[in-house]
Amino acid sequence: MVTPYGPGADAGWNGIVSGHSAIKGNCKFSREVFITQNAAMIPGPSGTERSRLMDIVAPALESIRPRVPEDAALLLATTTGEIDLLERAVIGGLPELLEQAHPRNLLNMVKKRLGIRGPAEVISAACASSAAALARAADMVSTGRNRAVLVAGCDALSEFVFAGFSTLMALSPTRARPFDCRRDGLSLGEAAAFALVMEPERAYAEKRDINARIMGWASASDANHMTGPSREGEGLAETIKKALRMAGLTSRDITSICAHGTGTVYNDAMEMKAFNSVLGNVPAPLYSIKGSTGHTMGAAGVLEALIAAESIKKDTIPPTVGAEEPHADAAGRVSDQCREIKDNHTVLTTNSGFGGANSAIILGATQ
Amino acid sequence: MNAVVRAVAGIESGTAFVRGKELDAEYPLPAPYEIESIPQLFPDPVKNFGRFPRHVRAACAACALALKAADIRHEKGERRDIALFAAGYEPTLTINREFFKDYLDAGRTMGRGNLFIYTLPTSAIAEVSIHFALTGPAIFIEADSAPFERLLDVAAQMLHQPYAPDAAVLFWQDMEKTLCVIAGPGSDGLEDNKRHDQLQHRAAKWRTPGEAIRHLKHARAVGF
Repeated sequence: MVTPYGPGADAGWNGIVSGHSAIKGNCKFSREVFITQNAAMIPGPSGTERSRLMDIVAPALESIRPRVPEDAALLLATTTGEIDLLERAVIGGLPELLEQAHPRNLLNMVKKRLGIRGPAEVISAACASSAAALARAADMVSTGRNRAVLVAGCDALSEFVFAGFSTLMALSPTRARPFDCRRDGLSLGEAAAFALVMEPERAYAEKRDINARIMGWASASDANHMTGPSREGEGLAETIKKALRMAGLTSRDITSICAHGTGTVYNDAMEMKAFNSVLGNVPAPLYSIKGSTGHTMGAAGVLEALIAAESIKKDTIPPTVGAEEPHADAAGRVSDQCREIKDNHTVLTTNSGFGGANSAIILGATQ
Repeated sequence: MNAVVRAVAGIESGTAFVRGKELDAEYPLPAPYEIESIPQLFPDPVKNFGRFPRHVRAACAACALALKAADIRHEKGERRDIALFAAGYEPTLTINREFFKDYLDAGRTMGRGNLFIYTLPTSAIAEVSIHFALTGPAIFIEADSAPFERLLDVAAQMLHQPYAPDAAVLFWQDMEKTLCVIAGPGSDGLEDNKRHDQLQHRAAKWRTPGEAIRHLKHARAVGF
């Protein structure tokens, strides 16, 4: 993974559990125009690639290539892809650059650099894109269609994205504080994260370092509103129920929740309603990493699944940075400190996005 | 593992058509995408329809026709577990360019929120899910080759999972054409497998929604 804390899973995990937020001011976005300059940006992309996103992704591709089987399928999850190419096309009047912003070009580049020969797809489901891609990968492997699927979630920050979220008044003037009583909006972030989903027999036979077992998965829609979540959280609740049924688990089996937790008033309230309606009798501790990494959009689902997998291995759940004074609906379940989880650690991760997209993934320890 | 086609609707320049057991019709359109001329298209008015970008309006219209033809009634307030999959990025690129140009023209201050919400490739299927209360997953999938063949394959895989949606609505769009197909889970029988394989085989050759529409306009092609 590549996060605002730097390249690599260790840097990402250590940064998140350190309790220090990567959200800070930057000079890329003008304070005079936008409500904030704060975002969690990846430090120092080389500038040698054709877009900021490829600058972020390229070194990671090089590092993971030896571990990705040639016959793997590729699911590239993104919301806006190489959107800075489109920005340059519009600013410079360069129509040929506009065509380059088509995500199929990004898909083909990633596929080529990884030397993958399997089928490849761009997957987009708003901010649940890479969670939906993980669910699709689990479908592909469980039906025997593919033996290995690489899920690559990535999004970069751009003026386009910043302008859009500003327009919707979704940004916090300061920093995202998921589930805090003073929360006032999200902070944008950027990341790239990669997960190889494999059939268990092959993973064991190849002596792979297995992070976690995908036990259940589901995606569904609110069918309610283009930008706002359903106030009662019934879409997410149904999604969680489906994932639990698929896993053959009950609410009692969930021992922690990695929530979407954007830090907007409505998202976090909706999530708490959904969690309480499905898991209410078992108040599993929950957290959001978006006070640390910002909202990494299309990368969020797979990044958070990888952090959840790491939390299973380490018997620890990360802090919710910014949740110094949890809102009454999350009190006792959210903390700005790391917490220990022992025995049968099973994590529910959830993501939601514009258009009412919801995804839920249940991860458990490997056998 | 298969998916069988229950209805097909297409909208292209000057005409809209629908093929299914319950409805088989063609409607002349006075101008490209002028779908308001189709009689009794929507059982209930679509909220903010006039403000939708035209590819979003076309997706809603094609879905209305296809659901009718598949005999999937839309009762107000009734939610249905039906998945939505979309392919075709061209309309998204166009809206993205429009949003960013508008933002630049406004002096790089504020963009238009009602344009920004349509800058995602799932925007059209999100509006469809809202109006028709379809609560299955809504996902944009752009394959490296043969986009519609992949959508059929995705539907077949998903519809045979435990706790799967009841059906899937597949969209393939460019700026001028919209294809909408309702797919349901097929049986394990030879006939359904054969129909699925034949359609997959044909779909592998389609490069644009227009090519798919030309083929699927003829009812025999989908085996009704």
